[in-house]
Amino acid sequence: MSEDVIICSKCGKPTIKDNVYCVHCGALLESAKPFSTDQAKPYISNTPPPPKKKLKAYHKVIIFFVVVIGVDLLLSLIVMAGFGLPGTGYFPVFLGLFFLVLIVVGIIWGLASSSSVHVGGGGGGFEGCGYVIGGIIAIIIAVPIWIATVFSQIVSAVAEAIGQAISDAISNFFSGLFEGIEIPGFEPFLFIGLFLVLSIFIIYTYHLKAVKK
Amino acid sequence: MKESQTEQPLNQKLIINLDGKMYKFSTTQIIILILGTPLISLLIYFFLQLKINYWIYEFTSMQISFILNSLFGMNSRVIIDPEHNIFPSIFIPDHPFNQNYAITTNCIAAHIFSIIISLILLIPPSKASLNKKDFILRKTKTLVITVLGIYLMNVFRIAFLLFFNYKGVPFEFIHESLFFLSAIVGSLFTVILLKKWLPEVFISIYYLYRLISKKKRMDSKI
Repeated sequence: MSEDVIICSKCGKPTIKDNVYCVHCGALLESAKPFSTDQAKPYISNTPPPPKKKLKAYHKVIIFFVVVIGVDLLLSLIVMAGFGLPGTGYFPVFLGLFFLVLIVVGIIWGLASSSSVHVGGGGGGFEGCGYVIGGIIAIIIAVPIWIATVFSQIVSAVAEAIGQAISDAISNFFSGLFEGIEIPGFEPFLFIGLFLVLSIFIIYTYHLKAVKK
Repeated sequence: MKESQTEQPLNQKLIINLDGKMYKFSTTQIIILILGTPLISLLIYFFLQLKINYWIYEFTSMQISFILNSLFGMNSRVIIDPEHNIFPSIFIPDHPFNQNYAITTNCIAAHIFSIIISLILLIPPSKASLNKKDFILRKTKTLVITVLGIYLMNVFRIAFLLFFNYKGVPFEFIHESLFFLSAIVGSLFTVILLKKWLPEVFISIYYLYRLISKKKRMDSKI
């Protein structure tokens, strides 16, 4: 039997598969799909499509802040190890600086957010600020410290090599280009880094104000 | 439909209303601020190293020497090269380790000055505000006070650095510690002044963020 032929369930005679009704007895064939006007219409769902998961604005700001501090920390580690600044006794000062910045940032954040920011469930305002800062301290400060402690020798050796290479490259390039002109070191980066971190939080306060309206 | 009732229509120019003031910027202004600041600051930094600006080094050295003599009685004096080929230096008699301290470009915080000056110069005015004179006044006020404040802080930083070094504290240690302290104080000072008198610098960046997010929404609607 050909594949295009089926047996009618009523009269038992063979008929063409594509037919809607049996050509012998007129019964509706089981495999046939009765044509209806509904089929011609495109499928329209009444339920709206699921909303795309978007990062909230303050999540973006936090991520940006985390990235900025992370990059700042890594750069500073490399600079400390590789650019001739004293490595020992310098780290606590650096840590102190970050804690100071975080406290300042926390105060600004707390004042700005008051009750509008809800981070970590029911927490809001200063509470939410505490969660965020706690998280940042844990991730940004504790993890690199642990890594730096465990792999301090490797890190310092690699950083020293990178620092030396960069230093040589910069000095060779600029000494030829600007003979007799002083080139800034990495000192401005601390100022710029702090300025940027504070700016981000001020921008965030403006964002909160604008969103409230 | 609901969205358009609560927010500005997507095809309208974005205007941000903050603290009762309207802010509107063009993308060009913001791009100039972001890209121009490092470039102009580099130019200012190199300009400060030209011989015509030798008087700044001379003036700073004299100020430091004056503070050292008047506050700590160190009998210091400034040595100046008449041909202006060598940086001026501060000579401290009876010093245990080092008697001469050259005042170089980085000592006078030229990099910080160049960043601040270029940033303040390039802050865009709000197009929604009609009072341009007020903006220029605020800009001048912020520029003068920031530069003076940072200058004073830097002069005292160097004076204390030389004093502590004279008293036996290792140079590297005191140099780095005071540098950290001054960077923190300087950045806080600058940010607070900018927020008070020139909030346009932060609002323009925020405006750019809003413009980008608005464009994204428009693209997603298309």
